[in-house]
Parts: sequence; C-alpha cells; structure tokens
Amino acid sequence: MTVVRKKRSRSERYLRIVQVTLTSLIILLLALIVLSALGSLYTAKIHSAPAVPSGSGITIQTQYSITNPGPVPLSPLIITLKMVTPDGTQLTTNSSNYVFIQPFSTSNGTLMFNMSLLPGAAQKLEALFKNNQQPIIIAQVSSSMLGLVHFQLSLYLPVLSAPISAYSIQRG
Amino acid sequence: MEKIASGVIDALITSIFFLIIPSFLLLLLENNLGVTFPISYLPQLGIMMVVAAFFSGLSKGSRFEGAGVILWSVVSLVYLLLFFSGGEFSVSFSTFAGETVGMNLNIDFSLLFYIMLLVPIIGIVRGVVMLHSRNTSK
Repeated sequence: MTVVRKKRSRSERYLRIVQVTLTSLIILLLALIVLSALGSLYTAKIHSAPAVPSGSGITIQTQYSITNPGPVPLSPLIITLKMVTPDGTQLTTNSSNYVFIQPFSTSNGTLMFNMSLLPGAAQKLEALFKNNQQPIIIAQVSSSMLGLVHFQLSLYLPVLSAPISAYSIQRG
Repeated sequence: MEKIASGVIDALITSIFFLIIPSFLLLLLENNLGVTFPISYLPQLGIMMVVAAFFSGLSKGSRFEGAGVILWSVVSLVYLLLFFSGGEFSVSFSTFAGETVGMNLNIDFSLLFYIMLLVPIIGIVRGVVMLHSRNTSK
C-alpha cells in the first residue's frame, strides 16, 4: 500500500465538518434527553393509597413529586391506569392524568384516578377472588420529548387484595 | 508497521464502544432485571465494526483511505439499521429488585433514527469523494 499524503479537497473537508457537527449534535441531544428522562424517573416519588371502591367504579389516589433535572421538557407526561384480569381481560375504563414538568423544575401534587367498571367486570372480579387470584393494575407512563423521542413505560402491578376484595359485595 | 499499529488502535477503541460495553451492559441487565432483549446478534455486529475499524485505520494516509471510510460507513449503517431496527426500542422486565412485576418500555425515536442514518450516508459520500480526488489528481 503506497502512502500518498495529499492536501484534502474542499468538498472532502466540508463533508467531514458536516459529519462531525451532525454526530456531535446527535450525541448532545441524546445526552440531554437521557438526562431528563432518567433523571425524572430517578427522582420520582409516587405514593398510592389503596384502591377504594366508589359507586360503580374504583378510585386510586396518588401523591407524586417528580423533578426534571435536564433541559428537555416532559410536556405532558401522561399517566394512565386500568385494571385487568391476569389473562389480560380489561375490567375498568382507562383513567388518565396529565403532568407538566418544565426543564429544571419540580412538579408535585395529588392525582385521582377514577376508573369505571366495564359490564360484567363485577362478576369477573368475584370469580377471581373465589379462585384466590388478584386483578392487575396496568400503569402506563408516556411522554414525548421535543417530538423526537416518544416513550411509553407500562407497569403491571398486582393490586392490594383487601380493599379491592371488598368490592365483591357491591356490584356496579 | 505504522499502518498496522494505526489499524490495531482503531480496532481496540471500536471494540470498547461497540463490543465490550454493549455486551457487558446488556448481559448485566438481562441477568439482573430479566430483560428480554434480542442480543444474539450483538457480538457479530460488534466484530464486524472492529474488523471495519482495523481496515479503516490500516488505509489511513494511503490512496485507499476513501475505501476505508466507505467500509466503515457501510458497516456503521448496517449496525444502526439492525441494532435500532427502525427507531423502535422495546425492553421487557419480568422481575425488578427481586419482586415479580411486569414492565414494558417502548421507545420510538424514528425521526432521530433517520437523522442518525445521515452520518454514515455522508461518510459514504465522503469516501467516494476521497477515492475520486486521490486517484485522479496528479
């Protein structure tokens, strides 16, 4: 292989500059997005009261505090709850709350999730409790960051049995 | 000798970023959090990147430097296309901190993904320009 050291052409130089600039911008943008997303998840403090049967539905009260340590806004952060059976059959309607978290700021407050029981859900719940099974709460957290990155985190959480079991005696 | 050393250094640096760190981190996640992630093709992709980096380093300063840039860019393009599969990333957890919970994380970054693809595409164009200018100029 012969070593030929020549002066770089103008187009070659420009392409190199464009490539390095674009790479740097992407890395910077990704770092800022990761900082905001992971920082918010790390600092999130969420305390849920046990699910309470209310009329023909179920209410879950949640206190939250989330800090966004990065420069990318999480607006809005959509938190959705729904209740399903272990085999995935939906028992309640979806209940959503919106949280707006500006860059470098903290948002805290109380969220109320009111979920109505779907037709036939009461019987399914009763059948579940008879079989010593529990319904599952699916919590979905989704957001868009500058329209560039959309994420959705789904959590499948077993429900505390005691307050929900009480529902089996009052059908909606 | 200088060329081979340059190739080896490039290959070593590439292996850290594209082979060792991804494999280590993803295996760590898989073992501790029960992540279901398609990591089976990750070593092959990493080795491909390391080989391309070696040849790219070997060709530095020669009239074939453009070919090295094209090879590296094509391999990077393949890596991005296969690894990020259209800008959608999904990770599922079955256990967390010893508790059995279900967790599913979906990330959609299609727009950013296509912007990312521009980098190796510009690299291919740059390689062609380099090959052309270094093999035609007197």
